[in-house]
Amino acid sequence: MRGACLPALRRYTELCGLVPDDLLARHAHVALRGSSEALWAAKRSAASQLAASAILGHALTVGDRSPARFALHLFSSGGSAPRFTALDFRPVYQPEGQLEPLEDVPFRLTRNVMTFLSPLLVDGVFASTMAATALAVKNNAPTSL
Amino acid sequence: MLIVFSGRVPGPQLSLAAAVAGSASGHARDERLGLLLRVLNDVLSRHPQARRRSVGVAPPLHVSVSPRARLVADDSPSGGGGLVTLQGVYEAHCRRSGLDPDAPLARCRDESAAINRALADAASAATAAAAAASAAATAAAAAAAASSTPAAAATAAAAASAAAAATQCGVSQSPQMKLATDTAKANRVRM
Repeated sequence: MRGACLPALRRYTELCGLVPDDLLARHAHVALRGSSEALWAAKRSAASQLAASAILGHALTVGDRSPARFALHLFSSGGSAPRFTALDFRPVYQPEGQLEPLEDVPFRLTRNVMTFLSPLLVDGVFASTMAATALAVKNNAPTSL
Repeated sequence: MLIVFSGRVPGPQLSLAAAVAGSASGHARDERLGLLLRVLNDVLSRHPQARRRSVGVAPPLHVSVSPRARLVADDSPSGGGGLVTLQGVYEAHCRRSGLDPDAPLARCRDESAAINRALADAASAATAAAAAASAAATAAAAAAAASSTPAAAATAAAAASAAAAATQCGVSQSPQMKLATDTAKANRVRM
């Protein structure tokens, strides 16, 4: 089995080489014209909102996390911050009406997203926002839901 | 199927689209989900740590105008660099580089098929080896039953038990095991 896993890992690495891991970061840099303040605000807001949608999506068994279902809005409009939203945020049901069982990968944090957010935000804002969201739901949900 | 008619309506900066969906149950599901997300936003706003981080989820904006028609917020990119999906970023990169967006997926599919074929071949080879070991165990057991010499019978019985264990484990015979089986066969021929 180990002999079969090593070629699979090698092929996975080759496939990762086909898609650069800084596409999202380059897009944000170009769209914001290199403004460091706007870039930092966009990244920080994106990390916070992605963390909230990740933990809530895991709790609500929101599946099908394809790239077309994640949208990035870099420009603030009407006083709202730049946002990173999950489109079609709804639980996945089986044909029998039951929720789909939890998947092996609980949320989307791919190479491009990690490069865009940088390790500072992934280990800082992202993780702490997930913890704060989970605490808020755990402490206050019984009185509201 | 969802048909979207884009059009800007007067009022606040909200672009609405009339969407005609196929079933009314989808409308009710979206309404329930929007209600759940609004309750979650309320829950998050009452927690100090979450409120300090401005944590929240954006509920979908939609207005049901009839059982089979609704108005949903159309947040499509309005020029410049507005809303863009991760898929859109990747496809833009492929367009600039002249690459096929589906090439990694096609290659992944082909590679997975090759890996599955290799695993299937390995499994069939292991099955064939296990069948050969089982046949050897049967022959050795027969030799042990027909043996008259105690030493030869002990050797044949040991070979039979080892071959049976190899059959259960799904591995081929070791050289020592093969030697014992051959000894049992020679004793049977000699007898």
